[in-house]
Amino acid sequence: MGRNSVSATSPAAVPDPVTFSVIWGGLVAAAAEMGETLTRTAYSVAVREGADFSTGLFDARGSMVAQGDYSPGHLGSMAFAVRRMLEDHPVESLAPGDAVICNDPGIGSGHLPDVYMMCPVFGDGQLLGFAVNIAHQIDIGGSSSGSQNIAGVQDNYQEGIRFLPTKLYEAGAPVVDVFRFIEANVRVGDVVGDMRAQYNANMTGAGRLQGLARTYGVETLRAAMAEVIARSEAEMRAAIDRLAPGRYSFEDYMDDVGPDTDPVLAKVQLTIGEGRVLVDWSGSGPQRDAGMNCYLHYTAAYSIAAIKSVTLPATPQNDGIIRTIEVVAPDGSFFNATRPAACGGRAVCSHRIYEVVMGALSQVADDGVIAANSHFFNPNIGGTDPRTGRPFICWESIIGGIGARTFKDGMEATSSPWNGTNVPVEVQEIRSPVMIERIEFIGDSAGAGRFRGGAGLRKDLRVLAPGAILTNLGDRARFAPYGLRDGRPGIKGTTVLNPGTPDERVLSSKGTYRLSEGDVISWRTSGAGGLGHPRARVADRVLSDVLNGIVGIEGARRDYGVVIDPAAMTVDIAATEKARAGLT
Amino acid sequence: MQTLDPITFSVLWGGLLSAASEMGVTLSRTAYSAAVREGLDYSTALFDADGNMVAQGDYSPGHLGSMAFTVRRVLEDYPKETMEPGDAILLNDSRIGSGHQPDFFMISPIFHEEALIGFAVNCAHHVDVGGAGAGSQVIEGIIDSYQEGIHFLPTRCYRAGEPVADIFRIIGANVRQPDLVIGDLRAQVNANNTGARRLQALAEQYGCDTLGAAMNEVIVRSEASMREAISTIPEGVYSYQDCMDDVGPGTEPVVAKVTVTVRDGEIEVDWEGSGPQREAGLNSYIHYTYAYTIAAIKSVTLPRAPQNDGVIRTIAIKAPEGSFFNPRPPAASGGRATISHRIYEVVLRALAGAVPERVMAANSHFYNPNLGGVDPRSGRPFVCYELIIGGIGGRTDKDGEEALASPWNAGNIPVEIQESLAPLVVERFGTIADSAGAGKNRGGCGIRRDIRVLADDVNFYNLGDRAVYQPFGLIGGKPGRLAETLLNPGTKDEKALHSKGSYRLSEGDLISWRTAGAGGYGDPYEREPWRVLRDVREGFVTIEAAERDYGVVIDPADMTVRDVETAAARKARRGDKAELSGISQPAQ
Repeated sequence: MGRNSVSATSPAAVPDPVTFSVIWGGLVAAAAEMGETLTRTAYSVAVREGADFSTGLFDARGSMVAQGDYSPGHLGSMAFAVRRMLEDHPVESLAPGDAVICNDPGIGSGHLPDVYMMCPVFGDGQLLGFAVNIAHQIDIGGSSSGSQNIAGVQDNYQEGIRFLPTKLYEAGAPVVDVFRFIEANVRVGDVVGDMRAQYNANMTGAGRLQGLARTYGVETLRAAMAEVIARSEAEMRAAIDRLAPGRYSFEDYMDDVGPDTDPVLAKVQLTIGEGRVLVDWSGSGPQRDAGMNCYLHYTAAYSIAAIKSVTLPATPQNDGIIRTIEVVAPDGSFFNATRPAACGGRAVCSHRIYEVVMGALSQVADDGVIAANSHFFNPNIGGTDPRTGRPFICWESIIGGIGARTFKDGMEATSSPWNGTNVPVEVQEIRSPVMIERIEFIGDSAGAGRFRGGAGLRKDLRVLAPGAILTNLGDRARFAPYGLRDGRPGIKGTTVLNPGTPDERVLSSKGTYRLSEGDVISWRTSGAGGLGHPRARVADRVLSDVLNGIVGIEGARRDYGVVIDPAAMTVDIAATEKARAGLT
Repeated sequence: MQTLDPITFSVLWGGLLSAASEMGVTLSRTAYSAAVREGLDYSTALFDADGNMVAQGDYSPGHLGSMAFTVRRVLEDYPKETMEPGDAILLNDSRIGSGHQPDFFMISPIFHEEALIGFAVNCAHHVDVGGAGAGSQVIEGIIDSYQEGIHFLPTRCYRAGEPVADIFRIIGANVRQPDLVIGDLRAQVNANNTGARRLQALAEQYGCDTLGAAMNEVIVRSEASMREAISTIPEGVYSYQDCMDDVGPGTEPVVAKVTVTVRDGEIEVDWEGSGPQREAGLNSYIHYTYAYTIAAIKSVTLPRAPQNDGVIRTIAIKAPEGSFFNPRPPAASGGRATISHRIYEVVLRALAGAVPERVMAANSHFYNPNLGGVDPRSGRPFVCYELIIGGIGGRTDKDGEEALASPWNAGNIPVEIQESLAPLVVERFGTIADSAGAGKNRGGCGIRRDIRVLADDVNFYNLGDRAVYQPFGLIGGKPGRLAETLLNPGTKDEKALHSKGSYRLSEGDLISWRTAGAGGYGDPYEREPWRVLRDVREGFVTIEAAERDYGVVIDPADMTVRDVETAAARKARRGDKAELSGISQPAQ
């Protein structure tokens, strides 16, 4: 079995509480500022608009101290990735201004587009720590534009270029041959720009860390970093101890791994006790011949994200938190795939990992849990832009709603386990020959409940180039997002080509298609699950949903037993009481 | 420039040629892969200090013909002033190199007493460079070169004799068989080192100036000989058109049309009128088109002289940009080797209009499939690179031969090598009776090779042609029989496979490749009956076909020619075959 456990570090002399707070705040702010630098200097839509990156600061021993609030898939794998990168490039071999990159799926975050960059930070000739970030590159070569193709992909060699830990900068200067290699192997130049932005981000983090060292001294900074980790660990253990010890299981499915394939069983057992959580994915399905397997770091990342959401949601993540959680899965299983398993589209598994762990936690935690999300689409469209004659890649993210919470409805157009966002219409239309014809909520899609799930999202995109290729990427077209505690599941998602025309056709959520100029693709995400019995929902809130178009009048009666007078648009209280009595 | 005495010049020219050929021996003896060791899919050459090609080993025309252009481009990226002893530049860019990514060029400057005296250059086909399928030559479903594996623009991979570790690390991380690929790259460096030592020895013995003068003289003399040879071809405009079958299952043919103009001691070859570039792993980047065009012209002009810049510069080649024979990046090209024969044959066939006696009929074509999967014996991935090479076309003075590649040097891979490297058994390997195009000089027979796969879930990427358009005959010779690929022949699961399809195989599946037969040369009814009888005895022609195609009646009891019946049959049928005289019409 693969394991991700982290060895302990020993704390040094602790600074006074005020200095400690200032330094901790400084570290977290530095990580966030790295993210700002990356966003502001990047070239690609994925990084600039989709925020598909993460940042972190590490101490001199390679333990993670502070992270920006970005993508869990990156954040949860970063601690392990850095450790492995330091094995290949030991501290003694690193100089100021160096940068090591790595996108190996097993070492990094589970697919080739995600490129880690690690820079050592020195102050007064001493190693202070490491500035690290990871960004999703919009293309890394391989079988399709965007490098996230699922159907027909059998191994990682088909998915683009792979870097084992390799220096991209030496003493502040780019390693020309490696840049040249990257340029030759990716479809769009944005990638080189984004890698420079990654370096900028790390230099920002380095500058802040050096500033803290100058102000407070290297020894104090080191002691504060150790204290951050130690305190976080203690806090995390205490939070876990508030959950009843025991074993909790849950299972769900991914729809399939491409057109006409079988579902993937996602099964987890949590063992909670003594301030630790063991997450065991034994019993889940085997690794598959398709570009969506999860390498263990990815499984660990979203398992950690779910546990942290329920235990210590507000605390910044670091080594102290991660080391309380151990994630295991059988070698060769879908959630611990062995090389060279294909994994380009593995992002589509993130929600399921998170939700299945969340489902298990819902049995032990009263608060902090949520029902299943809408899921999302993350398709790529590639081709040649007739306006310029140059290749384009349209990286889309269509994000539905989040599941109902224990105290509130789910929200719309917000991703639950990560920080991704819907790409703005105007940005897409400027950068690619596409026209967004519609983006809206889908009525009656949300799972009913005392708190309903977030509604699904519909986005219709018209392609204005001939011969473009769509690599679709979605899920929840066969298995609906679950509700919790008598909450109802959401409706299923679908992708429709040319809706409302004689050519209308349903597309697979993970298929690859050749499009014609003028084709419209209509993505409709599923609705998120509800929480609590729909009967318990305040009737006025159902009315409010009807007025906002989230629920139809018929849906209000059928799903909630709330009868609305269509003329006056008011709740018919008597009829509602009667209908609700009959609602099972 | 000093003048050289003839003896010194001959010794130096011989020294250069043997150095280039010794580079090849070093490469094949130190390589790891079957493609290089057994398939001989590599080439070597020496260049002068200005980047002019001086001497090449007798290897693959696809590499040899593009090398002169490749080195010129590399020197733009890495001017010679930036080169140092022990450097090596690699590249596999399809447009700069030889047209597909498995071919890696390695270029090493050679110094003597701190002066640059030339370059050692070689190119080798690697068994895998990553991408869509094992072997990196998938055709079906490929739409751009990004799907075809790693891509290096000219990149320094050795600096002062030391490997650039990051470059090798990148290569190792991105290919399915890193041991073989890295091993072969090292062998390429060895080969260049051998060439460098030989050139340095010549410089040591004769002095840099004399060596430089000799290199220049080689080129000047070659050009003069080539111009003289071209002047023996009647001036005029000659053209021909043939087709590639398709670019994968369910696709249209590719028109290969060429116009050759011979004038003033120069030859111009224009591919105008050929088909457009295609969305499949099968386009011919211009260097590749150059290479086989040059090979064809050299075959009818100076077949024995070593190739160098002097020879090449007498030939001007063009093809419209965006056409199949000069595609724009990122056109896919992994399986482009299958085009080589058509380029060569179409040029040759056009020249038949001028010098039919120097030209041969069309070849059998060949298969160059790749199989990839996990070897159950070791649990490790394997890539089986196969070459199934049929016969060459009939010639003016001789039959075509079997199991020989015509426009290149590659060889059939020995059975025992394949079986020890990959989980498979070669169950049959033989010539196909009656496949050769009949003629006064018949074509070479097609070759059948049957391989049983001993692993499950094996990916099979087929690569062949001439399953739709027959190899043409010349001067009354008949075309050869069409090629086919069968899965599990003779069982209830028998199925015809496409020449360029991708398939998933199960353990125990048997693939049977049958190449086309090569075209015949001259009227088959003029073939001496004893030669037909010999073919029957050796299994190249059946008794029925002897009578049908050659009008030779053989007594099956004592296996002798029945002279009277033969004479009668031939007389009767010759009357019907008046159209056989002269040059046959293009295959359509």
